[in-house]
Amino acid sequence: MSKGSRVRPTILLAVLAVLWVLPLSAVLCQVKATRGPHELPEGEAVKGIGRAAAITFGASLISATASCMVGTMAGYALSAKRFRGMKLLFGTLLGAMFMPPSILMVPLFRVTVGLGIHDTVAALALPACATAFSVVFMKAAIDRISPDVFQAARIDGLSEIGIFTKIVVPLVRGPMAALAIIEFIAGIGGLALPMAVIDGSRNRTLTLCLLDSLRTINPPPLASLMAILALIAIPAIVLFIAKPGDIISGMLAALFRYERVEQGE
Amino acid sequence: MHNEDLIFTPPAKPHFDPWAYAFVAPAVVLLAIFLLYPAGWMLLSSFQEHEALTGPSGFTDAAGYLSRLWSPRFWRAILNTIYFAGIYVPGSLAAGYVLAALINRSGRGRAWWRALFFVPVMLPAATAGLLWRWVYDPEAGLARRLTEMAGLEAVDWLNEARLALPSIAAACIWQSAGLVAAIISAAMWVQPREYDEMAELDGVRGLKRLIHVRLPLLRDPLLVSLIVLMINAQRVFGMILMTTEDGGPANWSTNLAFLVYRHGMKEFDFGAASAVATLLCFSIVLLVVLLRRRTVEGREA
Repeated sequence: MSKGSRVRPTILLAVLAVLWVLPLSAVLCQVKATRGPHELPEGEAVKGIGRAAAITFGASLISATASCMVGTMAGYALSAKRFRGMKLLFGTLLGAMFMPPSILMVPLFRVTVGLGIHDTVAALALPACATAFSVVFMKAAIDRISPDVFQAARIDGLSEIGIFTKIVVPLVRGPMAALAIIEFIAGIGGLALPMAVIDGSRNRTLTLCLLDSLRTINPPPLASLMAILALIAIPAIVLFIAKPGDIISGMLAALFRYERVEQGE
Repeated sequence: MHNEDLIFTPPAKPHFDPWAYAFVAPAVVLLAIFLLYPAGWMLLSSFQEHEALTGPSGFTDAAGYLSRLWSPRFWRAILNTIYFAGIYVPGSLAAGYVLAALINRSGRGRAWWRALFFVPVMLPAATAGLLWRWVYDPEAGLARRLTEMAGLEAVDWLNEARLALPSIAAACIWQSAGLVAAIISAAMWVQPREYDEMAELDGVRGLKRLIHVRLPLLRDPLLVSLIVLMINAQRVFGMILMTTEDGGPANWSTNLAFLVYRHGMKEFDFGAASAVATLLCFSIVLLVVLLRRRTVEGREA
C-alpha cells in the first residue's frame, strides 16, 4: 500500500475521533455554564457521596472477583468436558446474556426481599456474582486452548483440581483480567439492579445518587452531578485503556465464536 | 502396566461427569436463584391476576391476558421499539462499516484507533445517558451550539415528541458503532485482497464494487452485527431513563423494555409488566437462536 493511501484514512479517522469525543466535551461546556450564581443547592446531591462511592466500588469489586472465578470454573467445564445437559445449559446462558436488564427488576426485588437481604450491600453484590456473560466469555477464552494440553496433564497424573488451578488458570490470566474489568465497569455503572434492590438513601450507589438528584432537585445541580459522573466514567475508561486488546477480542469471541476451534483449522 | 490409562481419550458423547457438574455448580446455583427463578416467576405471573398488595390470586384467561397488553401505551411502545430499531440498526451498521474500513487502512495505528472508538461501548449507560442529556440541553448543550453555528433554529431535542426517540437513537449509535467496527474490521483483516484487485482490473469501482464485491465477502460479520444490533435495540433502557426520565413526552420515547419498568416499578402492575416482559423475552430468544445458527453453521461450512 502506498504511503498516500494510508495518510488519508488517518486524517478521516482523526476527524471522526474528534466527533466521537465531542459528547465527552459536553461536560466541559457545563462546567462553564454552572459557574454562575445559581450553582446551589448542591448539598442534597453530594450528601453521603463518600458512602455511596464506597458501597459502589466495594460491591462491584466483590461481584467482579466472584463472577470471574465462577465464570472460569463453569467456562472450563463447558469448554473441555462433555457432560449431559451441557447444550441446555449453554443455550440458557446465551439467552440470558442478551436479556434486557429491566425485565428482571420486579422479580429481583422479590427474591432479595425473600432472602432477607433487600436494601443491603449483599443484594447489590450477590446477583452479579455469576453472570451468563462471564461464563460464555471464559468458555470462549478456554476454547482457544488445545484440548491436548488438558489430556497431557491428566496423563501426567494431575488431579482435576490441579488441572484447573495449575493449567487452566495460568493460561487464561489475560482474559480473566479483562473479564474482571468488564464486570467491574458493569457493576459501578449498573442501573437496573440497584434500582430494584435498594430503597431509600442509606445504601445508595453512585448511579442512584445521579438518578435521585436528577429527579428531586430542579434544576439539577450540574456541578455535583458531574463529579459523580466522573467517579463512574473515569475508572471505567482508565480500566478499559489498561487492557483494550484483551477486552475487545474477548468480547468478540464471546459474541460469536461458540464452537471449539478444531485443531489445524 | 497401566497401558489403558495412557491411551485415554475423552468420550465424544456427553455423559454423567461428576467433575464437570462440580465445576458448573457455583454458577448454576447462583444463576438459578438470581436469574432462572426470577424469570420463571415473571413468566408465571404474566398469567396470574395480581393485586398490588395481596399478591397473586388465580389465573387469567386468554382474553384477560390480551386485555392487559391492550392499551394505547403498549402499541406506542411497540411502534417505538420498531421505529428505534429502524434508525439505530442501519445507523450503527453504516457507522461501524465506515469506521472499520478506515481503521483497517490506517496502518500501524490500527489497534489504537479500534480501542479509541470502543470507549463508548464500555461506558455504562448511566453515564453515557447523562452525557447526551447535556449534549441535548436546550440552553447550553452542544447540539444547541452546533445548530446555532449552522444558523438554524434552536430545538429542544429530548422534549419534542417526534425528536426524542431519534435523538436517543443517535446517542445509541454513538455507543454501538465501535463494537460493530471491531466485529467487521476483524473479518476484513483476514479477507483475501485478490477479489478487490480483480474488480479493479475489470473496472468495477465505487458503489458497484462495494455492493457486489466487498459486502458479500463480509456477509457473516455483517449478519452477526445485524442480529446483535437488533437484540440491542430491544434492550435499551438506561439511555432512555437517563435522558427522558419517564419515557419521554407523552411516551414518545417509551420502548417495550422501558414499559416493563414503568408497569412494574412505577405503577406496581406486575401482571402487565410480566406480560410485556414475556413478549420481549420471546422476541429476543428468537434472535439469539438465529445468531447461534448463523455462527455455528458459519463455522461448519
